[in-house]
Amino acid sequence: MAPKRQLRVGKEWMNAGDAEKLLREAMRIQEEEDARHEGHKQSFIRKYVFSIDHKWIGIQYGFTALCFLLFGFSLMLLMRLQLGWPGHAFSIMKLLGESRAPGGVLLPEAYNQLGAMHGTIMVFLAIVPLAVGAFGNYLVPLMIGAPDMAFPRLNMASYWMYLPGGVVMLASFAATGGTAQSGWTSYPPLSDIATEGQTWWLIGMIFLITSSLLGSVNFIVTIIQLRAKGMTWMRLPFFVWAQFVTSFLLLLAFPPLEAAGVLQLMDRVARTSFFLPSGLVVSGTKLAVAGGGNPLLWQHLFWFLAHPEVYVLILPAMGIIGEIIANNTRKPLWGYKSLVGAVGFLGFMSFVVWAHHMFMTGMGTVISAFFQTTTMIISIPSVIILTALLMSLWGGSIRFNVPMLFALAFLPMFGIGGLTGLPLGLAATDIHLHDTYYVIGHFHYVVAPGTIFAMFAGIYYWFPKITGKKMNEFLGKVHFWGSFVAINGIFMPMFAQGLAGVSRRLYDGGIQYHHAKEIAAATNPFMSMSAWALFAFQIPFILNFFWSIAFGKKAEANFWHATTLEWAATTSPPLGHGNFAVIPVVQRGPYEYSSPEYPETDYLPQHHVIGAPPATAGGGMLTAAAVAQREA
Amino acid sequence: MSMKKFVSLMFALTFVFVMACGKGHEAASKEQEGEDDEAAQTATATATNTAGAPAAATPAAAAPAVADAATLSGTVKFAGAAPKPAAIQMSADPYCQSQHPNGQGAEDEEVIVGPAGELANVLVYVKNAPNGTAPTTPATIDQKGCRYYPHVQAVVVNQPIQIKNDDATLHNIHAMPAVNSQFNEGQPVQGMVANKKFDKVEMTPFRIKCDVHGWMKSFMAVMPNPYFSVSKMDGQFSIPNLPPGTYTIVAWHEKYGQQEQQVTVGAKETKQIAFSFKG
Repeated sequence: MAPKRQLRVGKEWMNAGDAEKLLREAMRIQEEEDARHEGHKQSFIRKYVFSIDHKWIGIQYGFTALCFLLFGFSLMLLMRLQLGWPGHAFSIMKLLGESRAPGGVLLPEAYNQLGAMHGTIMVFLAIVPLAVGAFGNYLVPLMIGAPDMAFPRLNMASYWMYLPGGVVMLASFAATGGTAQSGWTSYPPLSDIATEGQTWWLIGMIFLITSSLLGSVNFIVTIIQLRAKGMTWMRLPFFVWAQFVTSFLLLLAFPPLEAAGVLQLMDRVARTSFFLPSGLVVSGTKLAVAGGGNPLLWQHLFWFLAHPEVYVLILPAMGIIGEIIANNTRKPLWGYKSLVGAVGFLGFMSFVVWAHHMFMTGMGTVISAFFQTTTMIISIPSVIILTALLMSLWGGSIRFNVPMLFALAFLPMFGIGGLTGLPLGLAATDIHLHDTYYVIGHFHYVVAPGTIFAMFAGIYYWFPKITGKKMNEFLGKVHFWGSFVAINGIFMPMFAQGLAGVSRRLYDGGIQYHHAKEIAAATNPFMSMSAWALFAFQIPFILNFFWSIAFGKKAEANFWHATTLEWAATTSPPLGHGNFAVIPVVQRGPYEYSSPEYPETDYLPQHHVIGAPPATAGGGMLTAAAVAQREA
Repeated sequence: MSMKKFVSLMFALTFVFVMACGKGHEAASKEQEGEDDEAAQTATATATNTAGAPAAATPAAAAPAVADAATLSGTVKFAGAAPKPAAIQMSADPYCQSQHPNGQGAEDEEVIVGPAGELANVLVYVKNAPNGTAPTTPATIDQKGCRYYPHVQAVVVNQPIQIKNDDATLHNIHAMPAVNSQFNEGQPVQGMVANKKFDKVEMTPFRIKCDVHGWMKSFMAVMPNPYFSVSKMDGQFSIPNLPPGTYTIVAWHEKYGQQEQQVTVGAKETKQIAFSFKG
């Protein structure tokens, strides 16, 4: 029988279980004191709805974003039914209503709506809020040893701008003529003259952008100002660096889109012509507008946001993967300084590559050459990051748990996504590939088996931290392997379709087009079946998630034996108020695994003082001692 | 609940879910077959109705029965040399081309002049007649062989309109009224029917077009009463059940514009009038 872990509390030694009880009691007393101090007990609404605690806001973000992720995914499932079996009647399509799918046959304009909203919801309502709003909010203050975000009320406002933005987007499905149908990029003039849903889309976007701006300011100030003593810049976990750079991207890239959104809104409701050229003929009729505007202006403003946005999607994912790889290889991240430098350079470069999305707009060769060059340059830091993460595996004693499986899958999947982007960054090859399924394959490899897998890795990894419960490994592995196979079944054939010249915007997947019909018929049904299989393999995750919250076994505080503060210096779940009973003092870098300085265990927490009671006791135990001392 | 039990339960639920979906799919397939049958019937019926009548006139809507109602009829003529209809190049959509072997029936319908100079597709309506109620019989627009049937028609405000696609290719119905709400809807499957109505008076005909097949266009006016008619291939039109009175009669043609005439009709009178458009 293993000896019971002993901890010193005050001047006495006691076992870990008793120390934990003592800590809980101390927390309860502290909460009561805080409530007395504030003169009232927190109401339900204040605690759970309009909360200012970064952890609860993170959970709010996470739950909402996961719901949107599922919703955005379900729109895609309907699209894939249509693409796989064009024009067939499906009972499930009837859910869309008679005006969108009479008799269960999806109409082309409804397909466009599904496409536009799939992109919008996945990018702006699911992945960014999950990667930044949920993971960032919950973890950044814990990882840097801060009691909360710098501006808790701003943090709350950020969530409460995000949620109405999402509600407006959902409400737009009820607009006359349906929701937005001009793609997630909303290119004018098409979007300027589109049905009412586009106006709702713009209003929703203005909410979402405002939410991101509020969040990003908060992250930047928090990371600069609220780091615990000893948490120098080069001791920050890689995840925090990734969030820091991401916040700058959000802060600097979103305002041009917000401005563009307002201009487009004016075009639609105040009859201005910012994006409408003179003499525009629509369906054979000259449009009665002032004209003189420029549709290309929108493309520049949009991509000035949307390319950095790609890195907003991928950087937090890389941060998560970095944490999980270091933890599960039980060795420090390889090339930490290179990683930090690469992330910073990536963030900077992401502002000067946007026009590689616009090679087909007829811009001059000089400008094309500039953007091709910057695009090739930006691939260098991406390769550095991927290489450093791969090198981190070398010689590690790898634990193949569920978060690590997702993290390991991320590496080749992001690799495929990144490398297939290079031909799109060169004008000569982009001319052939532009607007084909190749592009869809490329960015989905980056975002779906890339970022979304990283999000799953993060959920499995930090679930014990957030809930204090374990997730089921078997269901997790079913989820992983099924998703891994199915997701490749969807996206790999897209490269072949794209090279064959199949346009990405065809309602029937190309079956009516001479050059596309053979490959469309050969691949689309298989891809659609893979999409539905992917859905089926999310069921174990959903069940595991809720089942583990309700009935999961209790997880110890530092479940993965990690070194970073969120695991090592507080309980699971962390203390409700202020995160840490005593703000930890950081002694070293974030990835001191298998350190020869500390042979007792294979991990040396960032705040642990060598010579103090063993760190194996897990999170909170050291602080428990301090709390007990304070109480005495 | 133990984990084992939970997993078994979930597998069972998943199995039920998959079975349910499978059944749904079968049902969907059956519905599809049913629809195909219906589509075939519709296609046959339309073929019978429209054979040999490329520019079918709108059947006059049922006018309210008036005891001493008059009838206004007449002919629209074309003055001058009839223009030769331009051939429509349909090769962009092989299906459309296959419906017109050797280019038969693939001619522009803008000006259709009969052998004796009769002008078809002229909408004749009474400008200042009393309002009437909308008939319940739907007006129809058929898309067949990548053409619209009829080419010109009028409906009464709130009269149901049935738009059918008899082609095995995608059409979209893009109605472009100035007063009523526009709509633009696709019909990807043969036999699909869309039901529409316009709720405001719009006497100047507006275009209804297909954005997929640029040559497909049709015109529609929305009237406050059923006192209108469209000239047939023989240039004839007839407006029955018109209450006695003095009216302004308008004749509208998509290329040659519109003309007006003042007419007084007495009780039970059958009055003949004539319009003539110059090329």
